[in-house]
Amino acid sequence: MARTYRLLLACSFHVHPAVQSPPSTRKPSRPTRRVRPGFTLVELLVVIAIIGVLIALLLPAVQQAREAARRATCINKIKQVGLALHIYHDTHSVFPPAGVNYGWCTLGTPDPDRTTHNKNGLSFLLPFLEQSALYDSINQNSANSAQNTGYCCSYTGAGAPLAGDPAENADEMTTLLDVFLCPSDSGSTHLGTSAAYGTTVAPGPAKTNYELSSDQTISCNYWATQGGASRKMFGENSKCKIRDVTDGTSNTIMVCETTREVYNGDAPAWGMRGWVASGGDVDPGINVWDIPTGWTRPDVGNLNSWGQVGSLHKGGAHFALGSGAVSFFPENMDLTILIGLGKISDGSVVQIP
Amino acid sequence: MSAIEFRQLMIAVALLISGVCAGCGPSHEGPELKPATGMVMLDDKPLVNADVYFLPINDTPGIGGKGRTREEGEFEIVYYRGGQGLPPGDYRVAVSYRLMPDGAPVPEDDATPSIESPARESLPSRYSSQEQSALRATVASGQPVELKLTTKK
Repeated sequence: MARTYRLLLACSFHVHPAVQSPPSTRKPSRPTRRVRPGFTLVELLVVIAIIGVLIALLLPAVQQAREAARRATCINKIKQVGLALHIYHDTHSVFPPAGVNYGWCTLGTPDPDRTTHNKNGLSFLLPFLEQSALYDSINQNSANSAQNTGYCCSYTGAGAPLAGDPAENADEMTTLLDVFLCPSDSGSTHLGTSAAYGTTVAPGPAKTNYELSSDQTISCNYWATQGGASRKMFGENSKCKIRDVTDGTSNTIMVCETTREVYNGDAPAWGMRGWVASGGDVDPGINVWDIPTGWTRPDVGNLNSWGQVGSLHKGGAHFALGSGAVSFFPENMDLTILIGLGKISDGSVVQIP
Repeated sequence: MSAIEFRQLMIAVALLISGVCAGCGPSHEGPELKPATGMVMLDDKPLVNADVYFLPINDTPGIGGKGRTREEGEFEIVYYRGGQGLPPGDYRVAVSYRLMPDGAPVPEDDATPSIESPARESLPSRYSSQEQSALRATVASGQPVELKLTTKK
């Protein structure tokens, strides 16, 4: 078998055996073993095996380098959002709300003067993210989505009339903004045209990987009526100032990272608030993935529920703190510490790990 | 092919396989899990197809887990990070039993998320709310959790 291969190799080196063989006129003295230039099969296989081992060793390192680069990009983007919030605070002396007048949530006491705006606070940051033109094309007197009732389980919603004509802002909502997308997340980028989450304009509102820190609740997370100790930095119609963050801005979470795929509910959009779009809440923990019925392992990349935080970076997620610093918190960090970091004035002393 | 060549070949193949497999081992992180099983009774009858959530309280490590009751009302909790069981400690327990608008239980193969399903919660929030449930349980080795619910106040 080895001989056949050697012959084949010899052919591939364009050495024709007939040409090389000694002329028949000469008297054969003794059988000489012809030495052909070439490699044996085993030599070749050993070389291939060594190359294979080297590639096998190198490949994970290359993939890790790529993920490290994506992670650096993500840190940069969440930092941009954090800085934009600070510039907004410098301009208006208050942080923007997590959102304005949601239509989906049920108020304890209905307000007769209320209109539904469904605006996401991130959309107020556009002028500070080099998107002034897009900001100017959004009609601030019209709602950003037409979601105006509860969607399931006999939740009635706020019952307030829609402000203006949401169709005017539907095109703007579909604009995909790079600053709100984490490159490690390969989830879908738009919410689609479902009645509960989207608008009627395809491909639906563009999603965001960065959310403002606020309470996840089926009732309105109305900031004004929340007790001081339970407040996060944002909420519906919130008016948080830096002086409200008495725990210290470097000990309070401002912007959370989230994923673009969610099992129960849907991912947030940067422009509008639809059904159960309330913000990002650290209370349930980081990277709590959905476990489909009958599974014993989580479906990584698909967050368990709306309003939760997580990322596809291994082992945790990024957070922009009130000071503007960006930290990576591991998913295995103590839940008590994480919850304490989320609240602005609960008085608990937390040490960032 | 000579025996020596064959041996060299085998060594090369073994090298290749060990190289590829390097770093593929399972990595275990986080707290150790203890079996978390039990049963749910509603008015002394087993509650079937109800969702059971365990959420850590009192400095219990981890992030909790969930399970679903079977025919005799028994359940096994799956840790949210994967694996059967939970880190030992104290938990707030929420039991959710949802009914379709016509009063029928949610079909077992219905994968519609609860926030998009027409089904309504049938248990009071003192049992069903993940934030406000009054049910408590302690996970320790080898002790099943018995949850006895009553419909009357």
